[in-house]
Amino acid sequence: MSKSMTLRIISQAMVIAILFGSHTSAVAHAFLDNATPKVGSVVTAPPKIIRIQLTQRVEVAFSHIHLFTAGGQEIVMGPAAADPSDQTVLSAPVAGTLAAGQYEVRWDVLSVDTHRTNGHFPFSYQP
Amino acid sequence: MEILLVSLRFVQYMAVMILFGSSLFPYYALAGKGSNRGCITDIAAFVQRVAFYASLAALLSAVGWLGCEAVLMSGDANGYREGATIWTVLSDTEFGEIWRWRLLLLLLLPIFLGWRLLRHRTPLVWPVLVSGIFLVASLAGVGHGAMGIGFSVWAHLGNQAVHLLAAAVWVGGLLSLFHTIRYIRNAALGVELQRHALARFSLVGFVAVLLIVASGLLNTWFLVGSFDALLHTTYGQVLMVKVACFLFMVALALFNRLFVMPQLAGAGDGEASLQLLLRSVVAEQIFAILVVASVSLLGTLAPAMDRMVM
Repeated sequence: MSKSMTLRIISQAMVIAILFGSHTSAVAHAFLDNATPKVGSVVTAPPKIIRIQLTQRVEVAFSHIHLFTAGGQEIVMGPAAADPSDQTVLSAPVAGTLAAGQYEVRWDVLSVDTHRTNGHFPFSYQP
Repeated sequence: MEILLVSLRFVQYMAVMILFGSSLFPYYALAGKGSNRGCITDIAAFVQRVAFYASLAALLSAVGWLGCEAVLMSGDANGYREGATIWTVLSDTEFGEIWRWRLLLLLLLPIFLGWRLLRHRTPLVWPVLVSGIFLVASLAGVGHGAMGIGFSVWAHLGNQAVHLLAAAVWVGGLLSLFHTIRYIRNAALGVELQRHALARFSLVGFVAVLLIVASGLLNTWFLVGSFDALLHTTYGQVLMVKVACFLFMVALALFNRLFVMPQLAGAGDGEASLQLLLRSVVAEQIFAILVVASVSLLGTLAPAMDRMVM
């Protein structure tokens, strides 16, 4: 193998490494990245939509967002839908208007790698 | 449920890898000088017979795998017998998008092969080969291969497909090689044909091993991420067992190439070296089975990268 060919292969390998390397932060299962309302935040307007961003694309058909009051009562939510341009974003509309108080969002999602994950986070609404 | 899924994954991987690897074998090992028409016909018949049983095993395990996914995805223990759940898995998930085409092909293949076997048609290898390529490569899109966003999905998918295809060339090829060596010995076709097939297989095997190592390293980078994760997660540990079994396979292949093959070519007791070669090929197949078993387990575990994030 000539020296220039070796150099070319090494440089190509480096390009590939950089391309792959820039994405190594991607994980396989879906975990919570951020949410609206923000995790643990206090909001002053009643949220109409609960939106969560995950670390991996999810299968909408098997992913859910539930909302509970501090007392454990479930609030009616519309079906969860993915952002058409970004399958890592899942949102569900809140039916009606929330009363002031503490709430807990519980999410359970199916990642495209066919594994389920779930979690929960609180927020409160104080007008 | 997890144990069942691991077993079904094992049968599925093994079956489609044999389907592809054994059917590719005659194209490189028996072509060219030194080949013999009788031998080619026999190996084609062998491939078609193997492919019939492999496609049946693949069909059954694919149906079972779908049932397991219906349970795991819906979180409902009865999901496997709920028509609506099965339908949602097939129509609304990335797994289903791939699986419905695999199921269709796996339904047609045993019917086609069974009909040919019953009618004693001249064995055809190429339909098996083409289906095999699709069945092996499409496994890349199921599970961890599907992870990532944007470009990295395609890079990971392509890499995974190369890894699986190269592994299948080796694992499935071993089965055909074993049969061919025995056929040549029993038909007393001479060392010339034997040496030809062995030399071709070892060349193709060498390229396959290079591809397996290169794509495997990239994959490890994707799913493990760090040396620490390799040592301290179940995923990493199973992966190391897999790599160890793979290295045993490579060692056996080197032993065949550097020690047994020259012995076969030289004067002396050809039968003894042939026995040694057959035994070593069987040992290689056993390690190949262990590798595929660990792959079946890996797919159900959280990649090491996740554990480190958690």
